[in-house]
Amino acid sequence: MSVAAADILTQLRSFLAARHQLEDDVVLEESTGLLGRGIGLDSVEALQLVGQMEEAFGLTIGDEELDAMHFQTVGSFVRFIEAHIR
Amino acid sequence: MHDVAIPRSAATTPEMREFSSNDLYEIIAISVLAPASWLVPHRLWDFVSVALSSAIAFLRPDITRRRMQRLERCLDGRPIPDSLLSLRVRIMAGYMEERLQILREYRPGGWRGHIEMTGREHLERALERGRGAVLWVCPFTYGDLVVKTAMARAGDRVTHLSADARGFSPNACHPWVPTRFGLRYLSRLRTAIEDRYIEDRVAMPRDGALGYVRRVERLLRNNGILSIRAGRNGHRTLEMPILGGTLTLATGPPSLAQATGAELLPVFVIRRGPGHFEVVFEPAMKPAEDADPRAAVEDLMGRYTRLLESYVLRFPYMWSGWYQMRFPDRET
Repeated sequence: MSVAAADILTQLRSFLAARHQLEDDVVLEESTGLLGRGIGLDSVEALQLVGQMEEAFGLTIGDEELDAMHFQTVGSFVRFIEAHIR
Repeated sequence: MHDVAIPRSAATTPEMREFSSNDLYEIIAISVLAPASWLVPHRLWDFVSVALSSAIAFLRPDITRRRMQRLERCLDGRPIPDSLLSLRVRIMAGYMEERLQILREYRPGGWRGHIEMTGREHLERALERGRGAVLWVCPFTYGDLVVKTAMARAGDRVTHLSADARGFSPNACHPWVPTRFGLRYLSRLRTAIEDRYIEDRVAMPRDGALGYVRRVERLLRNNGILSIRAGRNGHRTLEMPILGGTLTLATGPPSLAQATGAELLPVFVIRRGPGHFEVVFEPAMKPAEDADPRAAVEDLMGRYTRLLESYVLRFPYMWSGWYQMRFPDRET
């Protein structure tokens, strides 16, 4: 796992923990669902998560880039943010 | 109350059919009702709708019996002002009358019903706060057109958030499964009329892209008014206890209000008589202060459902959710 991916996972974990959506000892798998199934974010929460990533990593992510496929699993979301960090 | 994993919208089904029997049923209904909507005076619509509905109930006793059994199961012993047969007929009559309104809008002069507003001060107070208002519109027959018309007459500029795919008949007895034909023609029949009364329509895209959320968040941060019909279209839904079963509702409206600081106002429509409606703005629902964001949203969902139930029991013929209710404990 790259340094960026580890940082993204840390941010994701802190976002979910602040919302009581994740116990401390839960392992986030690459295949864990993010939007709807799995963790079960709704669309507004997903956008709040993007906002947290933008703030943490100094990114700007355009509206047109917010395809559903990036939010399907923890893995796809990490890759999406990672691509913006590079 | 529990999360349910259902598709965001039936519209996300990749293999959308070209045409369905429901489309055919809608075309037949429109063919029958369109001439009536143009030629029959408003004051007789109630008579026409009830007469047609009674005839259908009489001619299809097997379906009528099943519908009444369904209503009885939904109510689970709760008293209502009507008999089950009368309720069944009135639900159908409302279905027809709403279509008469929409089709009448295509006639020069349009539909000119009498609409009163109650509790509008709650909306004004919300806008004075400067953080926008989310109107959580009840899933009642007449709710779509009547609320938009009332708001437009009052000079309010409302943006409506809707599913990309919606039927001509969201209150039909069967859930409408989108078809290419339905999306191209039937949905357009309804939305073209509704769009006359709103500032803008934001559609949740079929591919699930989330850019629209930022658009509506910007609207609310600019003190805009966003209307959303309470329903199951959304990325996250909860199975909410209501009457003797449950109803699937998306968390979008409370979640949006929570995220933006907008006021969340439940809005209900009551039919007071032929061509006479009341639009009720309930006081803003405030999230619990000590709850985390997700718990606050779930609390708001529960309070909304209890409010909805109280309206349903008082105006049972208005509700379009009778045939969408589920009975998880008793399903086999």
